[in-house]
Amino acid sequence: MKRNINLFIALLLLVTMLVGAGSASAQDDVTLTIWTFGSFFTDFYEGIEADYKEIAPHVTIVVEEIPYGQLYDNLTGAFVAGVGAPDIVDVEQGVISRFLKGEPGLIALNDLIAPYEDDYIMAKTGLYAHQGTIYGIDHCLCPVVLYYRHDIFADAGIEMPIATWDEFVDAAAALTDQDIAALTLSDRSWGDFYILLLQSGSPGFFDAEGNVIVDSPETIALLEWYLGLLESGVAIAPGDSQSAYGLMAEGKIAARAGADWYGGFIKNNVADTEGLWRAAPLPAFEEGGARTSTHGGTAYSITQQSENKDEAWAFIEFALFDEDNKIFEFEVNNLLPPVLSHLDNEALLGPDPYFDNQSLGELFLELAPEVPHQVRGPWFDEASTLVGNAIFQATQGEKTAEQALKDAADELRRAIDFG
Amino acid sequence: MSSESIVEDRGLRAWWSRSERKVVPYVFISPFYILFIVFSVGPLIYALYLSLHRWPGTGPMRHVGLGNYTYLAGDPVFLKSLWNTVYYAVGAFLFILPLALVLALLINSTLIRIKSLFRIGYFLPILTSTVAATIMFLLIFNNEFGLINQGLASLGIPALKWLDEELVKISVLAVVTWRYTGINVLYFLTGLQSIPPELYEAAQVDGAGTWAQFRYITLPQLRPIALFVGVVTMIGSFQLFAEPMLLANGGPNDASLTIANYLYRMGFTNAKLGYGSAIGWVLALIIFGLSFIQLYLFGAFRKED
Amino acid sequence: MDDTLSRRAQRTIAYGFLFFILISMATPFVWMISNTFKEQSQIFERQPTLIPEEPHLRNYVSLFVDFDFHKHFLNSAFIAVVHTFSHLFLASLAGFAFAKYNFPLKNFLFLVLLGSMMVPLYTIFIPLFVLVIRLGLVNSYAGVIIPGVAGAFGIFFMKQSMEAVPGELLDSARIDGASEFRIYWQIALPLVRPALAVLAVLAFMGSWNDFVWPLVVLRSRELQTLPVVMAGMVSLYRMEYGVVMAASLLSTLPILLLFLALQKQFLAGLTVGAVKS
Repeated sequence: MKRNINLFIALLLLVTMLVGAGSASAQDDVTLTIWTFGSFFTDFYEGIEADYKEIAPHVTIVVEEIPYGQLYDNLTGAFVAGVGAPDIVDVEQGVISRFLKGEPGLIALNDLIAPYEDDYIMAKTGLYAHQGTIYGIDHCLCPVVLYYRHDIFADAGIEMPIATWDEFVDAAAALTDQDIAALTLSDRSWGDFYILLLQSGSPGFFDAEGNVIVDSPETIALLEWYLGLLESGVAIAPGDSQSAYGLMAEGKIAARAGADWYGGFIKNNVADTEGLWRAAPLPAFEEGGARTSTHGGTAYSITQQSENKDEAWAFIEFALFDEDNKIFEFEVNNLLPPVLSHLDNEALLGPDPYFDNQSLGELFLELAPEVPHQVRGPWFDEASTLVGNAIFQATQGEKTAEQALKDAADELRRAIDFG
Repeated sequence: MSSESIVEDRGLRAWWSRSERKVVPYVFISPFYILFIVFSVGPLIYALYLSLHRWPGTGPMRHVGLGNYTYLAGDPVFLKSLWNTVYYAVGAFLFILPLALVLALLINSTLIRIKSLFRIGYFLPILTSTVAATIMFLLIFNNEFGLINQGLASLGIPALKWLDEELVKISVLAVVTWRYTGINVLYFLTGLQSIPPELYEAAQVDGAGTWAQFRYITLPQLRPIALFVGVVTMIGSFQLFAEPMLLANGGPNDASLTIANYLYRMGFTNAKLGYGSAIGWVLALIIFGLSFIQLYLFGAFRKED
Repeated sequence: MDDTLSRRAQRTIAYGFLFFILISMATPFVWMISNTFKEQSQIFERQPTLIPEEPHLRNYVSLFVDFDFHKHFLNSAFIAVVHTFSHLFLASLAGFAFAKYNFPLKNFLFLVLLGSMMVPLYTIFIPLFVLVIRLGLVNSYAGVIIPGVAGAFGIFFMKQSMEAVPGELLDSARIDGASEFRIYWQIALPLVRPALAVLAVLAFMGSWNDFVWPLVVLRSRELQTLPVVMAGMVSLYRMEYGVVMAASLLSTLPILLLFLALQKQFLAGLTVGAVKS
């Protein structure tokens, strides 16, 4: 009998504790865990944390910084385990496709981003979407411009900017004569080719329905043109980035297409040429065509496992659409906001001594609406590896551009069938 | 305390003194097996289960029986990575081990006085973090500015593309040799140290020359450590991952890709968890088979007399 | 006369060869040291200078100010010290058992042990990740240390070294009534000191450079170890070459010191001969 009473009291205690805990958690503290891969993102989150505490006192932000290569292995592990995933994860554009397979462990963000679709540059959502469902919202715009040595172009009597690629190639002959390459293009990876492919109006390696278009006539024609640039000496392939920086410092490479962040790379790695660089819109493929492309990006995603999805989105809204925060992020990590109304902020428009006191911000602001849309989806990793190999096979003369891309496309379709 | 338990105790003690030598080895080796079962066997069985499915990590699994394994047999990239890996392993046996043995013999010989300088000097590379070391080698192999190509240029030899399809495996092997020779010198030195000096003294009394001493004393006495070095080198080369990845990203055109790199690309980058697990199992079986052959050839299973 | 001359020639050749290899191996390392005092852009110069023109310590300052190098250094050191002592004990104990006892299933168990070294990490990475969560090992140093504390490599290495311990010595101790553990502890262990010293360096190094377990187990930045932090210095949108080389250089120091401290032991040789006679 006594034992029963004890049991009863214990049960009662347990129930009150459970109820208490349950009711407390409804308005009680929420912890949002964020996984990110770069200290520049960590610095950003830690910088806005205190401000967010004022707006949402019940929310605590915990940032866990994991090296780039391993963050996504851990995320896969957490999805398989069914527990252990963070609320918010920074998904770099190069790794998103693996998370679009099966039933994604990330939540659809279409409805959440919809109210912002006039201000947010929606072209960037294509990197993180599959069949219309958006799984990531980019931190950055990453617009591509042509960085060039204005001294070299002026010496050769070439006036920049140049409107079209045809004119650019014609003009570049004056540089080729002096043993200077007007451009640098990779002969072994897909990045440079993809920048140009998007600029030419292609959605990339897949069309809107998800069909492989790696071997489409347009893609083949572009690769043939790309090979032509390398063969004629208009462009060279230095093979590795260190060689590229060295050649840029020596004036053997006069220009390079790169995103906003690439300007920072030039600054750091080719420091001695301060004041000799400027940036121009990319020459268009045809008169009036797009004068920019996009390269890179990292998206905010929310996991299915998160128990605080609303709070997570509220924090992302704060980080992404609060102009002060976005400008602060630019100061920390040099990533331009993908939000039109932020791009004319004075802080982004100042002159840059490294770039001959040019305001790169004004250029980016002008080009932002032209950032091309693209289609990626779950098979992008396979596609980009195969296209990189195809470019290498074609530049080495092992195959024609057409054959290399046809083989890559066949292999890609086989990989997709395999599942 | 009852008298019963004293009897029991006495019985236990008697049993222990009878069986100590039978039980003790199992006790001594048990920590490894307990941890092995928890942290390896379980995961391996799970991986085996995964290898019979196609699964991107979320959503429903599709059972394919041995489909992943049959696909593997006809996968050109896998076969390429297998060939590359064999190339690295053979290279390791041809370059690293003989070099390490010669260095160890020299350091151990009476000819050399400043032994510690060499021991430490050769050991330095493996202490360097892989990331930092790879950056250094990217500077060394660099097409335009690399130390090697500048050296060649000063001799009037045209630059070679060290990270292109033809040479990239050699470059990876060079880095691996740089990194792992020193540690093998250390292993061989441990082996040489454990050869009782009386053996040499007796041989000298019998008038045996340096070569005869090396052939009939040093080599046979080094057998246990040579077997260790051989097996560890083989396992290490077949699991080679970081160097080709960091130097050339497995490329160009997959020319430097190892099986471990390909397993990672399939299982993680492409989220083919089942296929990746199948590659992992095949790789483990290859290594296991080769180690078994090595052990057998070295007579590791023969009863010691 | 002839003999001494040829011996001198031999010595010259031997030194020449050893120094040639030493210089080839040290070059990247020395160059790396020089790069830690340079700006990023100077690292990529066509005429690289061994002695930096305007040497500075900014990379080192950044290491401590931006990356809390000292904190992560201590984290790594704690884990490595605990790991090394536990591993030396467990590996030598198991190596002793494999070398000096005959017991049923010995060959089979040894093959299993070797087999455990052959499992590619990425085959079991996902299950391990699940396991770490399920066992509640997340964010604990025990979770980093325990899984590898009785690693097969060390056992294999100790077994090969224990083979050299003469069985007669052990048998005579048994006749004197020593327990099997005492025989291991007081007779076998002192005889394999050189191997233990080598294994100490290897175990310390293995733990010090381990990347995967800290990564899987430790989530909070505060607890994180050096290799993981260093990996974060060179990534996609950030390449702090000078800083990562400075970190790499400083992080070799503890192993180097341990190596120097123990290297007399490497040469101690087996004292078996003396005991025997």
